Order: sequence, then C-alpha cells, then structure tokens
Amino acid sequence: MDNKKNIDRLFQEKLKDFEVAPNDAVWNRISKSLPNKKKKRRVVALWWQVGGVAAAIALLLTVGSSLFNSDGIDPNKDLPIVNTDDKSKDKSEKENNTNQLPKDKQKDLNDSQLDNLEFVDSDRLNETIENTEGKDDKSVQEKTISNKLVSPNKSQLNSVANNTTESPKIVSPKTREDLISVKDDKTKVADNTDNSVGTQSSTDTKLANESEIKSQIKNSIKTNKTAVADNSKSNASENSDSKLSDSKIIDNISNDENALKEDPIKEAITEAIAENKDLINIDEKEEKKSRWSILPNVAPVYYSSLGKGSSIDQQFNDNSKSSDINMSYGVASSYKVSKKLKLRAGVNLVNLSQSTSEVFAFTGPTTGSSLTASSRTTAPPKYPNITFRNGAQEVSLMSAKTMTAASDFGNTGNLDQRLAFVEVPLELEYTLLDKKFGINFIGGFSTFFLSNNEIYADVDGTSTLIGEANNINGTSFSANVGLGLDYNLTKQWNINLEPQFKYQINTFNNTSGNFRPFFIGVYTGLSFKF
Amino acid sequence: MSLDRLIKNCIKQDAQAQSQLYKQFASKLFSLCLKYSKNYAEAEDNLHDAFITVFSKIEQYNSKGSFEGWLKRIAINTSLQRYREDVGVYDIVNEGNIEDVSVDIDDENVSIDFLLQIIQELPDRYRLVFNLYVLDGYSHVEISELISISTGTSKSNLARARLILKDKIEDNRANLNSQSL
Repeated sequence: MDNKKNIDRLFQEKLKDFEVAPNDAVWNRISKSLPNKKKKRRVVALWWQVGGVAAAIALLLTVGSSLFNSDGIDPNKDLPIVNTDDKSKDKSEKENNTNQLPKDKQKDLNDSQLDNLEFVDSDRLNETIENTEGKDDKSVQEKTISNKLVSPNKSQLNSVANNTTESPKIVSPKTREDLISVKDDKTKVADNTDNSVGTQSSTDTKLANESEIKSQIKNSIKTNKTAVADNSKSNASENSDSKLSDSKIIDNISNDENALKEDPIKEAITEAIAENKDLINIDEKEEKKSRWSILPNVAPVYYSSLGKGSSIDQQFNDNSKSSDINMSYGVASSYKVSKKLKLRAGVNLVNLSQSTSEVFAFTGPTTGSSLTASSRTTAPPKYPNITFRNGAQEVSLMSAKTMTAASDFGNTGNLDQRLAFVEVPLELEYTLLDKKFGINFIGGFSTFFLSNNEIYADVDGTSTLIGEANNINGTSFSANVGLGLDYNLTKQWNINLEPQFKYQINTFNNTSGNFRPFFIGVYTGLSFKF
Repeated sequence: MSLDRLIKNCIKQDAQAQSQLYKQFASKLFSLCLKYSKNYAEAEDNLHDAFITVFSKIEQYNSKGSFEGWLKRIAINTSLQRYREDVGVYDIVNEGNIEDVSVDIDDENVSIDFLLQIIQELPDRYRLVFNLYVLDGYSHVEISELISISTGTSKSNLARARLILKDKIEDNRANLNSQSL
C-alpha cells in the first residue's frame, strides 16, 4: 500500500496548486451566451448617453439661440451666401464689361481717359459727361458705356462693403481679424478692377488682370471660407447649432472647394444623428419593460407655519391659527431611470386654508371708529397685505389680543385665508425596499401657480368674503421630502401611501413675524405601470 | 468586492460581477477541466459549459458549503456529462477485474505538463476514475453513482489507470536517461 500511495501522492502533490489561465476567447464566448448580460449593461450606458446627448442638445440650442438672438440676426439668413453669389454675378458682369470695353476703347483712346475718371469719381464723371454731352454722337455712346461701367462696379463695391460689414455679425469675434484681411483682399480686388479698366492699354494685359482678379477673388473666398471653417472648428465642440449654420455657410461659399473640409463635419453630424437613432431605438426596446407608470393621487393636506407669525398682518402674529384639512388631487407620471431611481413629474390642484382665530371683524366706519375710541386711542389699523373687495372697504379687523377690553365685545370671529394652487412637482424617488411591499425615499421640488386667493371674515358662523391677500406671489416653490410606501396588487397596479412634507419658498412677499409656511400631505393613490 | 457581494450581483446578472467571478475562478476550474478532458479544446468547452451552468444556477447556491467546492462540482459534473453522452463510443468491454494493485514509482522528477499529458492520454473512463478518486477525493461508491458503473469497475479502472501512468512515467524516464547517456 505504501507504493500505491506513492504514485497517487506524486500526482496529488504535483497537481495540487496547478492552475492554468484559460484563453480569453473562452470568456468572450461565455459572456456572449449569458442571458440579459448585454441588455443590463447597456441600459445604464444608454441612459447616460441618451440623457447626455439630450442635455447637450438642449444646452446648445439654448446657448445657440440666445447668441443669435442677441445679435438680432436670423441664423437661417445666411447673409454672406447671398453676397458671394452677388459677387460671382458681379464678376461675370464685370467680365462682360471688360469685354465690352476694349472694343469701344480701341475705337477711341479718349474714352479710356474718361473711363479713368469714372472710376476715380463717379460724380465728376457725370459732370464730365455732361460737359462732353452734345459734342457728338460718340460722347453719348460713352455716357451709356460709362453708366454701364459705373453701376456694376458700384454694386460690386457695395457687395464687398456688405460682406465686410455683415459677415462679422455672423461669425464670432475670433474670425474678425481674418475677415479684415478678407476685406483688404477685396479692396485690392476692387483696386485691381479700377486699374485694369483704367489702364487698358491692350486686351492682353486686361485679360491678365482679369485672371489676377479672379484668382484674388478666389483667394478672398478661400480666406473667408477658412475663416468660417476655423470658426466652425473652434466652436464645433461646444456649439452644434453654429456648427450647423457654419457648415451651411461653408457649403454655400464653394461646394467644390469645400467638399473635403465639409465632409468630416457632415459625417460627424450624420454619425451623431445615426447614433442617436440607434440609441433611441434600443432604448425604446428597453422601455417595453414597463418603465413608465402613471399615478393618480389624492391627499389630505394640512397647512401650517414653522414659526409664529402671520401672512396677513402683524397684529395677528400671536393669534392662534388653525388649519382645516384640505384636499389635494392630481396625477403624476414616473419614469424608471434605473433599478433604484425613478423620476416623476405631475400636476396637482392644492387647496390650503388657514384660519386665524380671535379676530374681530366689523363692518362700517362707525363701528370701527367707536371700537378704536373705546379700546385705545390708536388709529384704525391698516392692512397693507389685504386688497379689499368692492363694498368691503369698511371692514375693520382687530386682533382680540391687542385689546384690553375684548370681553366687552362678545364672541370673536375668525379670519380665514383660503388659497388654491396648481402644483407641478418634480421629484426623484429612490427605492429603499423593492419587494411586494416597497419603501421609497422621495425628494424634489414643486412649482406653485396661484389659482385662488380669498380672505373671509368668519363671524358667528357666517363667513363673508372681504378680499384677497396681495402679498402672495403668483409663482412660488417648495422643497419636498417624503416617504413612499407601496404595495403591489398585481404586476401593474400598486397602492401608494406617501406622507410628504413641503416647505414653501417664496410664497409670500411680506410676512410679519416668523412666518414660514409648509404643508403636509398624505398622498394616497394607485399607480399603473405600462 | 467580497465574494458574497459578488455572488449576489451575479444573481442579479450584473455583467461586471460575472466577469469578476470568472476572473477569480477561471484558472482553478480550467486546470480541473484540463485534468478531466482528453485535450485542451475539450477542456475549454467544458470550462465554457461549466460557467454557463454556474451563472444560470448561481441563485441555487446556498452559502452553507464552500463556493469554490460548488464551482468545482459543477465543473466536474460538466466534464462527466460529456463522458455520459459519449459513453457508447468509449465503453470499454470485457475487462477483467483487477484488484487494487500497488504501484510504486521512484522517479518524482517529472514535470506537471507531462503528468497532465499522460492523464489526458488515459482512456476516458480511466481518466475520470483516476481524477475523481486520486485528485478530488471521491470514494468508489460515489464514483460508481456518478458515472453509472459498479464499484468493482471503478476500482479496476483505477488500478489500470495507475499502471498506465506508471508505465508512461517510466518510459519517459528511460527516454530521458538514454538521451542523457
């Protein structure tokens, strides 16, 4: 037996720590055949990518449109394109003119002298023409020729001027220097045309000049183009909007010459679009797994303040205040961002009311004045925060706390403030427990739009509308914190119970005391996943 | 990440966790597969199949036993499964029962690669029995259940495997000696 152990032990000892790393290909095969593996990974990646792209687009659109709007130029106008087109037309017209010119000039050398004058000063030209007018038929012909000459050249100069003045508006300041050089080039071109037409000793030199002009115009276009191209490059990363418009500009300046420069940009854009489509397609597939849910809800809400104070008037700071339980009802929809996180938004109608007790409300100036006279020698209180309803101007409000002989006046009444808001909550829901019974933590904020605003005087059980508060902002906000409890009825239906605390921000303009309003709602509802 | 956490994430089919689990155990399981297979390619196939089983059944792992032991059992089972499928082809007929024989080997100066090679060269069932009994500590009773043979056959196979291995090691030594002389 000793021997037998020997061979066994040989293998046991030798192979005890034997490990061999398998080829990577094995893992690649495994990972490919694992179920859901790809999907799971891509959901998160996709969300970030899609979200990122969407955010980037939104940001760029905002920045882009604000930039263009601030310059007061419609980004779709493409002014320089028009100009370059004009210029090329001008060029051809000018060619025509120069072609016409030699014939005439060969006939008469004097004409060429006159033409020189034309280009120096068109006004003077007109005078000279007028002077020479009537001398003979030739001079009349000259006039028409000179007019022909003047007008296209003027328009060309104008177009150059236009170009230099308008193009800086479209491209960023960075390219201004380039454009100035373009301007120089163009004035050179203009000079050249002057010279060519002016000197005109022979058709050959003219033709040479023409080609020079052409090449210089080409150069100027090139510089212009590169300037724009540079602009698009520098802005490409941060401003897709301008990239688009720039590429348009490039496109239109010279299709042939720009084909190369344009292509990468176009490709990049089309790639981005294609990618986006892919992402969205895949994302849509993912969404089939019930990422959305809709949650109609109803909540009793209780409205109060953290500190002592009153939103109505200083004198009510110390009065006890009570709140009725009001109702909030609305609907929200939520999107499951990840396994743990839901983003949700909705619309709620919220009614809030607060009743300030121990308030005397009197109608009519007599009672008011007699009250003041009898209680104290102070002037009747003013209510800067209340806009009285027509016919209710005579109402005097007094806090019983400020009066010494309050008991003399029998029962005190209440002052009811009733508010209604349209609430738009935007909240994140983080899942703490996700079983049949689920627990979530909810945080977010709401925007409130004031929809109803009334103050009632409630005396002896009869409440009278006396006016409205004028210190409530039309739009206000709240910070929301809550705990969500839900119970799965079926795969699609859940019952929710969400106690939420909403701390109101910027609801009142001018409150007295330490008035920090909040409300608590216990939102109950059903949610339906789809 | 702790192993428990890793396993939990693998249950959730988290791709990263699966990759990490593979990296952590692939080498160990691959050596196991190499011993139970007749060549490298078959070992790769067995490793692949074993991990597919691991990831699809990982929620069935109860944390009482060692996780590595669980993985090894799956790898061994996967390797045996192939033998069960191929049993018709490689069935060894008419072998006389050989009782446990003592095999002495005095040369321990052999490489792991050589040992692995001669294991892989064993007839399939000999290889399985030798592996199960000698290297992975299974009893003849367990082996008989695992690969549906009698304990006698298991013992006989083991004895023959030992003899074959001994011969090969001695041949190898003889070759080495003749070369050195």
